Amino acid sequence: MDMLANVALGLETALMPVNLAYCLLGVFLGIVVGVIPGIGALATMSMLIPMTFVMEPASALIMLAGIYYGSCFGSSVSAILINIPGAPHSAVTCLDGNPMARSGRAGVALFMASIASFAGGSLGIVVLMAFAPALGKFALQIGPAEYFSLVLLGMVASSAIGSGSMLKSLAMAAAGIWLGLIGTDPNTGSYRYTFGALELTGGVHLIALAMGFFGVTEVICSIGRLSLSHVTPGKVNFRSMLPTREDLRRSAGPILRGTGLGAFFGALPGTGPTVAAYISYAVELRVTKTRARFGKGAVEGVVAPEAANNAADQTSFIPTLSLGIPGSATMVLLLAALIIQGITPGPTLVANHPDIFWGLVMSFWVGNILLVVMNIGLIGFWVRLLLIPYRYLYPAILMFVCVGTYSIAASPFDVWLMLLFGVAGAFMRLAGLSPTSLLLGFILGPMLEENFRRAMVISRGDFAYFVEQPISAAILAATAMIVLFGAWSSVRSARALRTA
Amino acid sequence: MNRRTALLGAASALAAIAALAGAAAAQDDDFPQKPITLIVPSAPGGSTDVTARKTAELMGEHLGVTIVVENRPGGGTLIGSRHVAQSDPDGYTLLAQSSAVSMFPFTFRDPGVSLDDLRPIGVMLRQANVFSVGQASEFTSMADLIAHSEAHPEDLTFGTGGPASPISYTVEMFKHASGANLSPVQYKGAGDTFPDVIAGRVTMVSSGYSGQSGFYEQGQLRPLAVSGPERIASLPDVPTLREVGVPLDVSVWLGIFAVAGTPDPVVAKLSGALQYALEDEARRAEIIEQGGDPAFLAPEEFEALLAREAETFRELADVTGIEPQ
Repeated sequence: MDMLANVALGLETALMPVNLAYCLLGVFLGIVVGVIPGIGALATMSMLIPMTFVMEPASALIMLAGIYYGSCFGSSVSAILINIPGAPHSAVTCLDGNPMARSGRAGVALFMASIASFAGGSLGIVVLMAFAPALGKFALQIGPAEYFSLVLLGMVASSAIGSGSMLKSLAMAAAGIWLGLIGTDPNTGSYRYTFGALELTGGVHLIALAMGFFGVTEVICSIGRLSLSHVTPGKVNFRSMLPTREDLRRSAGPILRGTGLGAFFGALPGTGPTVAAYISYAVELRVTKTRARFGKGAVEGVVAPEAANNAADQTSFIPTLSLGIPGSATMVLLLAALIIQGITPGPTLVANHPDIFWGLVMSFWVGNILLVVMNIGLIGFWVRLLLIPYRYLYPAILMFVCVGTYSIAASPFDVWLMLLFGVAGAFMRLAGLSPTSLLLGFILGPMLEENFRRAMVISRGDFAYFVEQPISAAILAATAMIVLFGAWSSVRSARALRTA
Repeated sequence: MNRRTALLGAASALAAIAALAGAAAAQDDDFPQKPITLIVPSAPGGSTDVTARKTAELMGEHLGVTIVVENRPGGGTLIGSRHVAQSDPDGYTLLAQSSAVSMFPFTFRDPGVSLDDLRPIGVMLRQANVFSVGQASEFTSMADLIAHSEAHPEDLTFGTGGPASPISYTVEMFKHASGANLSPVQYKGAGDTFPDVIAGRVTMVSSGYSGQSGFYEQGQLRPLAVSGPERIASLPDVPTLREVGVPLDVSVWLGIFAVAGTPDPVVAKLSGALQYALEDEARRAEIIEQGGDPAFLAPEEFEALLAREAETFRELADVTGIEPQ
């Protein structure tokens, strides 16, 4: 059978000692930079690209890819332990992961996050192996109208995320959209809200925004409780990490749903792990019967986004490798590594270089197994990090966040901007405003605008274009149903309250 | 102070200046003595970045020092370009740039850097632009496309990597030269346009050969014309724009600049290193395979190319009324 031959070919490449070593190096680096807030896969990969000059193409790709999905594995650790996502795609993991840690269940949260990441990653690889060409072709069907509708669906579905009032969430989403508008108008090229700063013409960078509102804000808000530590420094043995039967029972569904959503959004160029994590959390909020537990340490709120972002990480290789269309800045780097090796990325890559493609895919298995073993083995170590007094831990975090932000464009401007966001975030927290919706608005707002305007040019200004495209129409119908259902259930509960 | 000591003082001052000048000349002869930084004013992974890294490696080999490639993206390549323009003119800080630098006066109201601040060294790569349509497109020749546009001027679109990108200018020049009308659909980079062009939602894309070549083999993209002065070896059946009656030849180049005022001997050494890089057999083969032209240009030839290009852009800005931001 074809698939078996491919798997065999892939294993042959992936299990070569040198490639095993590079895989281990990649995922280890990935986990480390994933845990450290601010320093992420993008910066690490661009620093290591020159090193790949002298490597075999397959080894280079295996190492760089390992950093990418390894960092996704690691970034939940800091989200859970210190309420600072190691990378933007773990921002939603904070919502329930950190409350779990605060109630003494840090070990369980980390363990379940690892299991969910592994499950999401593995199932993502299965999707990648089985459907890469088909999904690649499907991704071509998704044009501006479909993206617009999908983003709209994402915004509506995720409007419920975040504790506190709906009005506050919406206000934050709007603020996020505004921040996303800063930069250059995509159609006319005129500057928007740049206040004369050249550094803003390319827009606010996601890392600066996320590390400001999540990282620096957390540090500032902790100043008042310097002497407190959020876990009781008791025993951290293997038993305390083990989830209860109840945890496992609650997690199975969310992991599967998260994986499915993650695999879908990962396969579309442009969306990716962060959007996948948000949507899967939103879906859990809607399907659960015990919504009140969310935001207070519900294990579903940890496993769903973690399964989703890891699945998306794996399937985001589909458009990159099967079409040659990178969906994110990290994927651009991966393709650059190929081009530097003299390999032309594109739809013929899989056929012309099966050893590289299948070798890489099989190395994902190796990498994911290494990651889950490493991560579970390290849980005890991670939890002990919490015992480090804040006066040492937080200055170190501030430093990493600054270094990471500076490394985006070697520009101090981004660092100041990030610190400004951090201060603004501290005031927002005092007012009960959550940065979670803000980050979502920041990511989805520009996508909504760009795709809307592309669709408008293509359709020559005809709004009917959005419902004339069948996929887009179906997505819009689903969006309308969510809105109607939301309105209906709130009317019903209001009536129930009145009659009670 | 009497006249004699004053004279002596002047003489010794002169001697000192002469000695300094001598030392400077000697320094130029010794160039380079430390690692050179090549600034790429765009994000890692882009075509400028990839080309710069490959070229820098070979140039460094020739000069016997490391050439460190540093990305300073932002501000539509202005941030990195300004950084180089403000550096010392000693040849240790170089800039990798595309024709974007010739467009600064037309794209930005206050660019703060222009070609006058830079000293051209040479080109790392010249590449023809390929004008392609998607696999399902009704157009099989450029003449078809132009004829359709004349009959239905509202019908066609082209994908571009941003309103002030070199691609956007190339297509504007094409529209001006051919009389065809296409509306721009904006993306964040040329690569992002491919799904919509392949699926037929957008009519045409124009970009460098190397970015598109992966899509030819299975027919996802169909090249209709190339923009260079002659056909390219990798696409022998695709006519040039001139051959299909469109009086336009523009090629995309990626070049290296030093800071204005960099001494001649240093420029000569850098140019020599660039020549070495372009004559490297493997590199040469790679450039040709990617549809590029590896011909070496001396600094003066590069300067002449820039002058011609500036003239073209000035005309275009007049015709199209592009507003600087």
